[in-house]
This record gives sequence, C-alpha cells and structure tokens, in this order.
Amino acid sequence: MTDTDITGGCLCRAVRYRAPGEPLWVAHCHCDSCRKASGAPFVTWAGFPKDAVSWSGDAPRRFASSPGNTRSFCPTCGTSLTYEGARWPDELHLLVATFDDPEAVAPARHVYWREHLSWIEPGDGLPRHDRTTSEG
Amino acid sequence: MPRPDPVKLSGGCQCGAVRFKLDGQPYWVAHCHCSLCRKQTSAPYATWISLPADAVTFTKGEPRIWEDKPDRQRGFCPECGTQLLGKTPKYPGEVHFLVGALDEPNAVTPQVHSFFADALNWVHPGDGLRRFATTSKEGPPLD
Repeated sequence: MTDTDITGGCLCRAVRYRAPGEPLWVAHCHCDSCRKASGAPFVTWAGFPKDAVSWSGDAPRRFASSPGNTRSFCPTCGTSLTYEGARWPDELHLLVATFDDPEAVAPARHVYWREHLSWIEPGDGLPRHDRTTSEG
Repeated sequence: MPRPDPVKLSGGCQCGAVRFKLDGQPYWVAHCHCSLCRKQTSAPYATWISLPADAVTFTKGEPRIWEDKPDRQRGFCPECGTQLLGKTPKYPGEVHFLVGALDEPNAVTPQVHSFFADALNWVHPGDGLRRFATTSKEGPPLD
C-alpha cells in the first residue's frame, strides 16, 4: 500500500477498494453491454492485475452479464464497479468514474467504437478501435 | 431550450428484471457531468431524458430506490445493478431516465451539456452542443 494508490468505491460508500496507482491500461468502451450495465452512453475502464486490488466494506454483488463475463455493483446504491472476462483471466477492470480521483489516470483509446451511439462524438483525438486493440 | 417531440420508448436493465415504457413529451434530453451522476452511472458523464411522471409505466419489476439526499432518489435494478432513473424535488413532477437504459438510445437527441463546470479534464465532447456551468436555467452557456 502506498500513497500513490488509487482508491475508490460506490456512491453510498458502502463498498471501497484500493488499487495500484499505475493501471495496465485505461480505455473508453462503447459496447452495448457496458452501456446497458451503466445506463450511460459509454464507460471508461482501467485494467489491473486481479490480485493487486483490495476491498473493504460491503461485498459487491456479482452478476454474469453474458457467458464468461462477470460484472459487480454495490447492492445498496447500485453503482457498477467491476468487470471480469474470460478473455482477460488475470485482470480485474475497474470503472474509472468510481475512482475518488478519476483525473488521476488518462484514457488512451476508444474500444468497441463500432457500437457507439450516433450522437457521441469524442473531441479528444484518441484512437478508435472497432473492437479491442488486439483485434484490429 | 425547445421541448423535444413526444416519444414512445421502451427500456430496461441488462438482466430484464425491470422493464419500462415512456410515452409522453420530454421536457429535455441532456448530458450531465456532475459528480453524483458520474458516480451513479460509473461513467464520465450521464445522459438523461426528463419526462412528466405520468409518462412512465413499469411493465416488469420495480427499481430499487436509493436516496443520496432526502427525497433525491436514484433507481437501479436490484438483480443486475443497471442504473435506471432519478427523481429530485428540484424538478417536481419530472422523472429522469438514463438514456443508456433505453432499448434505442439513438432514438433521442441530447440537447446540452449540463454541469460542465464539473466535467473531467479528459472529457472534450466534439458534438458542438452548448455547455452550461450548471443548467441552462441557471446561467448563460460557457462558450
């Protein structure tokens, strides 16, 4: 644990976490599934080694959003917190907007751009990938 | 801000336990960058459609309500966590639904960015919509 760690949690603060200050990657995701899980037009994820994230307070409730994909949320206020996918078995993905300081990291790309909403036009100049960076 | 045309929309959570219909004339459709909306949706900003309360019908299930302040309600599916709605005494008679929970989010058109004073420093919308420090009722656009 260091003072450069990222801390965060849900809206009601029942669920809290701590993660290393340097995520493996940070990306915006425009896929239908992330949109439906959050209610927002798109979300922003940071990837971490699964065993590097520690939790305190209430346990998040887990939900299998599709085969091989598990999301979690605070059972009290509903804030979405994590994603784990069979494609990234060693990673835990945290939603950057749940960080205490979302500006501590900088998103580097847009993924699943092929599913983006017609009225979303990021003016950030970041690369846009049809699916993930490893898929083209 | 002109009132949008009447809508007939459906939506629900990701697991299907909560389903709703919206049938009426929206008051507005807006992106909100405030810290509470960001935290509710776990997203850089949220997009809301505001409707009269009588335009809303729950056709399956009911959201779980959590109050972040007295009477200020936010609703989500208790089974899968999808955020769905907000209600606040600041806007009496209105219910706000999250556009990302609609079956066809592209069927609505956001009009403004609200609470842009709270926008994250890596959010730079290139959509040309006007940006307000708080709401369009509380001051001129920022640009």
